[in-house]
Amino acid sequence: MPDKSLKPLTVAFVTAVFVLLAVGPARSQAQTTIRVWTPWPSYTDIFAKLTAAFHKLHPDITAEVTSMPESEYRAAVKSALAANAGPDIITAVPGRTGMNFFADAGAIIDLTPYYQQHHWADNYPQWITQNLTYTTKSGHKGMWVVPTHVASTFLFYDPTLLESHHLDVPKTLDQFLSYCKAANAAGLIPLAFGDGGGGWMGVEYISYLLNQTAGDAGVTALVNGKSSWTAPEVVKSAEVFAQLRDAKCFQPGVVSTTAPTALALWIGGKAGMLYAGDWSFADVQRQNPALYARMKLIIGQQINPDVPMKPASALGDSLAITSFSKARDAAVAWLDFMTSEPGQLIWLNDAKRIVARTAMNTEANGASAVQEEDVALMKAGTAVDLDYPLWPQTYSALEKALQDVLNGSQTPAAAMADVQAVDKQMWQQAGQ
Amino acid sequence: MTGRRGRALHTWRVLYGTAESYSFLLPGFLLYGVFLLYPVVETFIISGTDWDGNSPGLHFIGLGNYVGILRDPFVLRCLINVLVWLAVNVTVAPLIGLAAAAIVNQKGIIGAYAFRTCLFMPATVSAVVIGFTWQWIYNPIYGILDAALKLVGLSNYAVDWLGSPGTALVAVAVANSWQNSALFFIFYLAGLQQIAPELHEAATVEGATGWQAFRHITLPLLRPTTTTVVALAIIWSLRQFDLVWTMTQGGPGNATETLGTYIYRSAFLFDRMGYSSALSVVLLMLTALVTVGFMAWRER
Repeated sequence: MPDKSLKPLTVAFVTAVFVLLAVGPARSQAQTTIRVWTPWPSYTDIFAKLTAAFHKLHPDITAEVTSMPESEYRAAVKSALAANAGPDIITAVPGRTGMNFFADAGAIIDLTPYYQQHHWADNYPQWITQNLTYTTKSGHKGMWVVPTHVASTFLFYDPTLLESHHLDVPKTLDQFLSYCKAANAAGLIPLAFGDGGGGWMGVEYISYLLNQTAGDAGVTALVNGKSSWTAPEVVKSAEVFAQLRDAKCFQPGVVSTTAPTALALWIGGKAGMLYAGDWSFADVQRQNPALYARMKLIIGQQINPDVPMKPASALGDSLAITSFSKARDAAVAWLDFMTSEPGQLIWLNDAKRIVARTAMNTEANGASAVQEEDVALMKAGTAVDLDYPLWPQTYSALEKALQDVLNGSQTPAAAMADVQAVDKQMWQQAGQ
Repeated sequence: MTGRRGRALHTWRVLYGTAESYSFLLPGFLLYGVFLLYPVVETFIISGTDWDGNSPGLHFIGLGNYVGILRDPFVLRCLINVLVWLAVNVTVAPLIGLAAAAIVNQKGIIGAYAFRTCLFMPATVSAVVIGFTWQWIYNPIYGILDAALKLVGLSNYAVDWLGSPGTALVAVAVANSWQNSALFFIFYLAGLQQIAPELHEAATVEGATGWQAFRHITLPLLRPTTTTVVALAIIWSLRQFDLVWTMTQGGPGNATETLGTYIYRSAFLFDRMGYSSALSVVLLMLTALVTVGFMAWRER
């Protein structure tokens, strides 16, 4: 005879087991987790907001975002992909070292069907969709990434500071050289410029200078190996660098000054202007909200009056789905969210980035004055940012050549000849 | 019968004993094999390919990467930089470590433990932190070094230490020596404390000066420590990466490029994993050659 007092307990236990058996698997099947790797540790708060907003829209999907420093990111992603492990979504900026490389290796999937399904292309201007379309070495033409924001470089200035020193904003190269003299006399660093940490800011700067000296066609020919780095118009851009150096336009130690230090010099009122990217808006706003409210920007100084001024722009963050992702639908949902208005608004208002979805009315959605200025300049046309389309070896040689020019250890012509030697070798190795 | 059984028993005991001994070694060997031997073998294999680090499959190109290394002007530049680096680190760091240990080891120093802790502290800090700290020291605008030089009227010597090709390499090597000297200080301190005080007392009785005692007693008895210290300085110098990458990323120009940074650049920035592996093999050989050569010279 079973003990009657145990009967309710037995019934409860059996019921609990059935409930767990029934609910457990169903719950685990419904919940999908996607792993997202980003090279933006400074955006931890932004990603927390993005993942929370995403989870509200898709309660069955959880996005786990892992951010690591940009300098380590590529090594980590390459190692993970080579091992067929790692995240569902990675950042793969269009260009030889990013999107093209991963597409060629078959590590990311073609997003063209999703572009059609979700009408993502409607959100972007043509130059963006052109940039993210690529034909792999095996002949597969596709759209491989979804961009979230655009990065452009400018000269920032504080009108109040310049006015207080009776300095005008220089519009041409000659005016800029005069401005440098006047700013130095007034005890101001004319232009805070941080080329330390490898020399990548020099490449950003030369991108806009090249647009002025070689024009769109010239830059396109150069990045495609159809022109030479020793061509007079290309050397001219490096000579401008040397001219600015000789006119003491930069702070002492420009080659070892990092971009954040240059930013600090400008925010601290020690420099009249700053060469930086619009990715710095959030830092300016955080460190000095009043300065952020009144700051203005220009593309640079006109060198060739026949060539329209354009900011060097690139798709700063572009997301790709890895080919071994087991949660492809969930990953597509994340991409869709990132390019939709709710996701883009977080990038615009919280991260102070210039969103890739230019079809969106940024003014109506709370963009700041300087963001609006940036968008207006960018909409008028963009120049090629040399950060991404070059061979990585050419890029590295260019970084080093510009450092050599800045510290005067090489003439512009000799420095560009070094770049040409590396670039030529790369094209030869590629059989082109 | 008994003899045969006895021999069998003996053989069994030997085999069992050997197996038992090897079973104790097995975990260590497995760890060593998985985390050291296997990657080394894999590196040798990849060094014979043109693998980009991501594409499926390996395409063997024989000794192509090694021929490439012989023709690569950057490798020569890296080797020259490594030699300069080596010269600074094999002399400066051990000398600082030895001097600090000799001072702190003296009797009657008040707060000797506090000094030891302070002197050892740089060894406990990561290279990245050391890199940032020295970046600030060398900063031409805010840096303490240039400020101090200007203060004592040596403005002409206040330069952009990390931005000038002529000074960058030595500047980074000095920062590295500063960190390494902390560990060498501990090595030398341990070595000094092993020396019997009676030897110095006898020398004093015989009328030897402090320097003579140091030169003829302390230094010879520190020979094994010095061998270890210099061997470590050589190995660390040859494979240097983290501090250089943090402070200059190999720049300005190629002024501070070392084999370590070039290997990283080739593998992860230039997508030449095969070439990078060949460079790693060369570095491994070079390190082994220099270290074994040095040890053999010391043991003569």
